[in-house]
Amino acid sequence: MTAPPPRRSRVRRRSLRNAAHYPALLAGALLTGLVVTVALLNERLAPGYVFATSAADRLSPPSVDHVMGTDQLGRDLFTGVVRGAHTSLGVVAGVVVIAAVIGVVVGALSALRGGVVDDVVLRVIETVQTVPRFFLAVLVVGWFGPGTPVTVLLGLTSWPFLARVVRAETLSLRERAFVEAARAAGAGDLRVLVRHVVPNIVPGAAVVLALVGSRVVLLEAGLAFLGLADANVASWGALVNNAQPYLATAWWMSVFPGGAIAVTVLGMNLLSDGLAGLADPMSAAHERRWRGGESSLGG
Amino acid sequence: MIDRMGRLRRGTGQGGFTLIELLVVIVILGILAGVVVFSVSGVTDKGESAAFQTDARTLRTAQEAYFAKFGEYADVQTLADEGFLAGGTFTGNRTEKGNTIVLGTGPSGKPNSAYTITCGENGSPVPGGCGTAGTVARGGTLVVGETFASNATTNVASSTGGGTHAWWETMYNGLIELDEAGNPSPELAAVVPTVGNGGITNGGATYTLTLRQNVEWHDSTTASPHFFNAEDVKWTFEKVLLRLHARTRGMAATLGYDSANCRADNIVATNGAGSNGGTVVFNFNSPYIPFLKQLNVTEAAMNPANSVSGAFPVGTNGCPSQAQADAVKVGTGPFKFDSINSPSAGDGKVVRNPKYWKSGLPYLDAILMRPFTADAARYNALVNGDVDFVWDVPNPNVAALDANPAFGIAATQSLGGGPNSVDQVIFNLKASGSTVASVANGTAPDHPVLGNVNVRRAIFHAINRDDYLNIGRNGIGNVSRSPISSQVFGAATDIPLPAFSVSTANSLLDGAGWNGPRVTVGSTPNVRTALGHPTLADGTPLTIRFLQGSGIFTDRLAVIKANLAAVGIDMPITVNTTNANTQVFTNRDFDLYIINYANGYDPHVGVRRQYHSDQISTTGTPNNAAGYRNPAVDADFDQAVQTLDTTARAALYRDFQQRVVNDLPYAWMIETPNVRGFRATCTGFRVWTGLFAESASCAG
Amino acid sequence: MTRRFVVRRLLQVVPTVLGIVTLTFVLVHAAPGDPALDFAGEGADQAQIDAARTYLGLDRPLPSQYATYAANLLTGDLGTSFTQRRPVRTVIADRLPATLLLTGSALALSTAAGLALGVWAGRRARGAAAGTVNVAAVLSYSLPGFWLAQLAVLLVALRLGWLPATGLNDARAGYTGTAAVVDTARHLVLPALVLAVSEVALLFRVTRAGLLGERGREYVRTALAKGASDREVVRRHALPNALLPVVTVVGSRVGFLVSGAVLVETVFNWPGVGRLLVEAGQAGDHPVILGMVLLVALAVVVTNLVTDLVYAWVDPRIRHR
Repeated sequence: MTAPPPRRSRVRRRSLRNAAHYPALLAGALLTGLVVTVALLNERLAPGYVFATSAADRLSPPSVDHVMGTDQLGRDLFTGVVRGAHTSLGVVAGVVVIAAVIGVVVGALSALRGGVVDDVVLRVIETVQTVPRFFLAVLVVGWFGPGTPVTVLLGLTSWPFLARVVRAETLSLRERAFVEAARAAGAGDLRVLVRHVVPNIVPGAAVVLALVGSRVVLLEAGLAFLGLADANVASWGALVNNAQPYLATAWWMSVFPGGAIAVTVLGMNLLSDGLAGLADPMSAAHERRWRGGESSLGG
Repeated sequence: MIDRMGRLRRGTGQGGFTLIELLVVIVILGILAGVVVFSVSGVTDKGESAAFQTDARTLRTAQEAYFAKFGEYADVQTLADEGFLAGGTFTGNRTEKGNTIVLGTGPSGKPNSAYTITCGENGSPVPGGCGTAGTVARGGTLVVGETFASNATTNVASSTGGGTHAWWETMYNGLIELDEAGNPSPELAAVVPTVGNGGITNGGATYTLTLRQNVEWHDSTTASPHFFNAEDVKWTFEKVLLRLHARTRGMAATLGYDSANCRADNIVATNGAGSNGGTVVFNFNSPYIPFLKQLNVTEAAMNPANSVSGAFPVGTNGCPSQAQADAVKVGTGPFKFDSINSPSAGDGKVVRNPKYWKSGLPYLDAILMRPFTADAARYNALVNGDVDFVWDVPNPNVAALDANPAFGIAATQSLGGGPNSVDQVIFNLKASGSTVASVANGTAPDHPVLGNVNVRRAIFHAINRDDYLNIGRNGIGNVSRSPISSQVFGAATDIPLPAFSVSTANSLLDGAGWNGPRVTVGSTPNVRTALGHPTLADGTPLTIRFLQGSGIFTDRLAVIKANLAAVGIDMPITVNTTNANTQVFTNRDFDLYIINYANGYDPHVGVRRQYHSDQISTTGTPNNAAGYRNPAVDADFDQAVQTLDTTARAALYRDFQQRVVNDLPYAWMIETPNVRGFRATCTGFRVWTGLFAESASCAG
Repeated sequence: MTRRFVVRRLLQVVPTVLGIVTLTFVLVHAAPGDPALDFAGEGADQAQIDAARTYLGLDRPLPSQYATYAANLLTGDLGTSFTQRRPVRTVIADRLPATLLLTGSALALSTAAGLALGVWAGRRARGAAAGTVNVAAVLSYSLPGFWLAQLAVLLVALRLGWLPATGLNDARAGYTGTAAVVDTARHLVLPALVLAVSEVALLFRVTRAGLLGERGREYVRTALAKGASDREVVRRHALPNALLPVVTVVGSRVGFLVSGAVLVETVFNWPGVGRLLVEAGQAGDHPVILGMVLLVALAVVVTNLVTDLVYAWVDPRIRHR
């Protein structure tokens, strides 16, 4: 006897046909996809040495040679923005992987085991959640340098919220027939986790992880703005920081990198919203009916 | 929606967006960008800034040439008449902005751009002087935008930190003042000792200072007066200066100083009657020529004897600890300590010393110091009127500020912590991980990459120092032409330094065993690898780490990084602002470093400490950071400090410079003047010293 | 609210606090370099460094140090700042009021605006105006705050000259009394607005979402069918229920209240704990940074406790769990 397919996949198939009703998801996916593509293309899109200086070209406005202009050292801003995408999304990827692994495992196991384990995990989650990570990031950069240590720190502090969500979802799944059946058949926690829990929590986790991504981009840009970025890779926040004395004379130095940050964060936020709407089609349906008019009430 | 407990609450959707709404997002983003572009694009100062810098350099060169020939500075009209200046017009339209006078247009033709004279204390070079005598505005508070936050150190005798000196130097006095060119005049010493007046004897080995009388310390009261006296001088040298001041302790050896017990028996202090004034005799073991250049408030600020507090940790052996010495707040200066953290947290305040011994001074009632963590915020504060004076105008903003008639700027060769500074790239000559002791006694192994002088030479050739200056520091300064700053005695500017040449750099590296196939390392393409290198395996990439200890160097290092990449060197930059100076140098864990070394007013003061083998230090400012040991150079310095004859002395320093140009322990980049900015209604700043506001006044 | 629930909730605080204290203790000792050297200063000799080591208790075994650390915390002793050579809690206490003023104002502004906008949008959920507000909300928390701050200073302070560009007060004038209050208020406007902009969106969306969700409910539809007016339904039924998550959200922003807005404080040179963080970072003064970490974390724990208790008091379904 096969277990009934999880409710979610049925709902998803139905919703996708009406994708146009989810413009947030579309826009979010498009913007994020754009940034990801740029990041993956990296050198192919913007070849050359990203830090090449040029006295003759410094502070040039956007032109055919330099699509986004140059900075105060004559470095091409388009190259900087493209490579910066690679850097930022690299950090996001690292953080998302660490947070996802820890969050899913901890959250699901905590729900499956229950009891004392669950209590302990909840306390750990709360402890990690209360610690101000921007402050820790400043500390970590001072001690261990910028770059990878910061990624690790952000990963180690981004998982609690995901763990909570996964735990909540797993709790509701735990009572489901197919899980009990699997348990009765002798499956261990890990097996249950991998084969039953994970596929079902993916949508919920995706909502949270997209949000994590957007927060990480802003955090990393903020650190770079304070001068705490890795000087050996291009970074949007550092570009915006460099632009400060030139705001009145070279607007392109601030607008393009700042805009890149805004577009990326916006894309991830919309993606998160869109996925949440997808996961909760009942509310979207309510929304549509309500918008359509009062006809939902009495006729 | 997900609540804090992680429960998905059904029936509470986030609400979707319609397509129209998203289109509106895009439109608003576009409008925002347009508004930003429209509002922030002002006059492009690019053309003007280039013109300003060219004119400023032309003027400076002409002034220096005139000084070299005639021994004094001349005004613009004279320079033009004598043929030192060509081009430009002198319309005789004098406009005074702050303490500068603008005399027309420079060769670039831009008005207000740089034919300016700074009015100084030691006589203005402009006939008629600056401003009108006798109408100085009294009173008011000067608000200063500081570059560094304050810390526990309020004593400028125990520290050479630029921040400490900028904040607190106004509370102190030295023994002998120096003007911007280094010419001495009496301060707490009543007379400048010379051979002629018997102040200097024994061929320059004995100095007798007669002290000024009736100078009161800040804590002096009518009930119990506390006068400055000879005992104070001896105490300050013994307990503070000769132990803790990075430059002044350079005289410790010749003075026979016992640092373990902080005793200088060769200093003989005799108080005047009533413990007021007196004489102090300095008996050096051999002639010590630079002495008079090391007695101003930056090099030898005076503390009251036995004035250390109970700050922790306590000193040992009767010698105050660093913490105790740092906490001293009592001086004789024009301003005295008032408070910190008022009106805002982080601020500092000094108020007028009503009993200041220079009668009539100071004019201001108080100075309020406010720190800024960001350059841009500090500059905005000046332009917006939140502050009146900033120590350091960010290089990109200098031209715009100068063009603004409501503000004045003054460039000076001094940083807060010392004059005549030079950016120097430091090559770690010894292997990473070597102990300080092994470097000092010569047993440490050479650095595998930088130990080869041809590699160092290649790096020097690869760096375009004009770009370093123009791009990295916005043209403020001039490219070094000698290891000793051109502003200091003994600078030999005719010894050629390695010129910018990519081909020479490449061939040197090829010959040094770095001609292997190229690889990509990180973001850097085309990096050389070793082939037939004496110590490193074939295929090792040529990666040289640059340790950056301070954020001010960021743009300049970016230029070096690009220059080195062009010859196949990968130069990752690591930023270490915490403890870079102390802990990194105890195990020499760096390849390249950069320091802005203050040369002082005499090579013995600020230059010797970079090259003499007895300066390979464990603590404090990294003197001799390269780990350089050359007995011939040591001998040059040891001899020069005792040589009275100027020509012979210059020859010794010339020999030293020739040797270090051959050995290249450092790469001398640029000389770094700093630009102070202030609102034009304030005047009288002596911008080359921390005692900058002694005769300053603000109208309105 | 049952006593059992309250006691249980209070007890849950203990392990969390212990966890935070342990974490900061670990961090204190994970710092590379030698704290005794930092504390003694550059010109210290060996004897003084050793004295510093004893003073800091670094020569004792770790468990003993941990016990002292925890005990010190109970008395409010957060250690000593390396660079300022004053107790960390004094250093932080000097700066905290400025930050509380700034972030408190921003939170108040954004909560009021967010609630108002959220209720308005929740009541009539369509039309161009609602859409624009919706859009602006998403935009406002996607834009980097420091970018917005830079532009605000440039436009409002420098170009238009309406407001001061930096600082909490006028350094020169030495205002007292009412004049001082007005002066501070003038300096507060721009940074608080910039901060509020990034906070408004969250409140707005949560309120609106909550209201929309409630409106779909059975009891609302029943009430409307029975003839109650739209506004009355919102005010008496939907809004109070929708406000529950709002309480949670506001509570969760308290962490932000205390930790300050580092980037905005840097751009506006506001003398708060955010700027202190940057200064301490630049000077390598980690006792100060860790003291702030501890304080913020503890503040958040306390706030969570309070919001949970409030939540439970308002929502009867929870306290009977």
